[in-house]
Amino acid sequence: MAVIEPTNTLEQILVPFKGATGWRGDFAERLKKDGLPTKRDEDWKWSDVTRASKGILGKGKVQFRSSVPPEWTEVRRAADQDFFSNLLAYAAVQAVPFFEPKNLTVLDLDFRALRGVSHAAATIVAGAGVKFRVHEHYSSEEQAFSAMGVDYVVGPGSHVERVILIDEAPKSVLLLSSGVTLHETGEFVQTVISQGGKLVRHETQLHSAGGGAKATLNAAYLVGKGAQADIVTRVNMAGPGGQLSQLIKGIAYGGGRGVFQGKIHVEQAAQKTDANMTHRGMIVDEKSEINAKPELEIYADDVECAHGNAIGTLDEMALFYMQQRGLPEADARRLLVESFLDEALAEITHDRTAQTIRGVVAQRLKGLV
Amino acid sequence: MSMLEIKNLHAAVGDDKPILKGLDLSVPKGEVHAIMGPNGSGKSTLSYVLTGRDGYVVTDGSITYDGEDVADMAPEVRAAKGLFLSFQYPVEIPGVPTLTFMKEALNAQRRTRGEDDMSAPDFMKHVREKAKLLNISGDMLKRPVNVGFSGGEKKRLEILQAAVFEPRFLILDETDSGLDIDALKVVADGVNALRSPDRGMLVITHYQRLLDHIAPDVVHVLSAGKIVASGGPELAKELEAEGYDKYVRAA
Repeated sequence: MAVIEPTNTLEQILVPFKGATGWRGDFAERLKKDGLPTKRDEDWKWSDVTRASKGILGKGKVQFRSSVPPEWTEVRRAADQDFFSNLLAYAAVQAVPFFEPKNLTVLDLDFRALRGVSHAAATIVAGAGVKFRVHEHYSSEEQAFSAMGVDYVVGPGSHVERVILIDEAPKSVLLLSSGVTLHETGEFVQTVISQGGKLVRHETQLHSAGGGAKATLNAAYLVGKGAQADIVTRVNMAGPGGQLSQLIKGIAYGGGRGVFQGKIHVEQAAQKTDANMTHRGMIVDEKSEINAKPELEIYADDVECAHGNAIGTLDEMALFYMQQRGLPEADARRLLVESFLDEALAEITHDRTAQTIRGVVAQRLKGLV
Repeated sequence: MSMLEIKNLHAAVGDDKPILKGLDLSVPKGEVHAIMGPNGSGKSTLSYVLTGRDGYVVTDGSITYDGEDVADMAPEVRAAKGLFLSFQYPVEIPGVPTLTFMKEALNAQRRTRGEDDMSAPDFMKHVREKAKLLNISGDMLKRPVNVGFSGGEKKRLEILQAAVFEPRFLILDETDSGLDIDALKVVADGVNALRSPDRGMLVITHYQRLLDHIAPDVVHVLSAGKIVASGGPELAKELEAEGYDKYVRAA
């Protein structure tokens, strides 16, 4: 019998689902019927994944490395749940690497997507009263399409700090998603650094139980020519007395595109919620573009919630001031842009990690801005 | 030739709006000249044209500094040659600590002049000496440039930068604006400490008050983009008493 080779990215994505049953089979049916998201889907209106992934074919692979060996677990999901990219990542893998650190200060995870279509997933659990950092690094070859899911559970009294550095190749697509379950008195601090790719979307869905739970979701994106970086957050504040702080800052230059979509949903039970979400974008030239949609949906009456969104350009007066003091224009621009992004990196507590990240950001901005 | 020699200067903001219309001015080294004028006479435009702000276009005439025509030079090149502007509204730069900024700027100037960088310990010693004079704390220097500074702190920081960079020619744009009398005294003392036989200064101000503290050698009146009168310090007193009316009408 002749083997029919996939002729488009969707067919290639469906290959691992051949003969799948249960929720995986149901998800495959849904995918076959609806296809990949398009601009017509509200959640994806600035992220045309169908178009970005066009022409990416062949079976790819994600090379995964971790600083400690994982255990393995099976996953079960509901095929109709409203977290498409996460389902796409988890449905195609049978067993998921699983970490439950107990006496560890830092866990390093490295994901590298090879050319072609691939999936990967991992799950990290912080039980009760543990504290650790996770450093995740993502990179790829050109012409890769990968869906990756990294989920977290943060137990009572636990503290997890997560730093995500995304180094995608310019002609590749990465849909990276995380479901985070935050228990009472748990703390989760996340910082994403993304320079985009053909399309790089980082999505976080966080469920906070309240009761002293604290979440920080920060991100810095910098997109140049031909690159798009999306930062998407959906937070559900479910119980009383939860805290949430979000600062997302981004820079688009040379024709780059940045997207921020953030939604905070405060349930009626979540009284005394303290939540704020701020997005600041800087568009360096006329070719570039940033789109943002911050949303609050509040069903409790005794809460403090705020969101702010501002998109501006490089401050010409500041630029002149710095030049007047002797800094060449290029250096002045770089310093302004670096300092603009820096605020979003403030929650990285480990000095050496913060230094490395700042170095990476400075390197990327060199000669580009 | 004087240190700063401006001849028949015409300048416009953007494409169309002419502001300076044939300005002549000559400031020899070692002298302090004041420029006084009513609002809209072109005082701030002059300071920006001299230092090369983008969008401030010289349409005719020349600006000669130290024997060189600087009108087409980039702002940072003029800065390295020793032209310093104390801004009327010093700009906030969030995220950049003041010390870091001053060190980067000083070394950028030195590199442009073909000199070596100043070492970190030398720089710290240099700044500390000057900061003491202007009553600027180490804490203030750690904060981002001008962010959250009071009006007086901002102006003190401008003069500190002048003291640290040791420019050869200072332009002070409305340095007295937003200052109470105590702050004004500190700032004026800082400026007076910079007076030297090798250095020229142009003090731009709307009010005579500043000139009680920084005594000028020559006072010029700017009206409608031209110098319409020049004289000794007594001219400033006359303006204070009688206002700019007669010069506005004459222009």
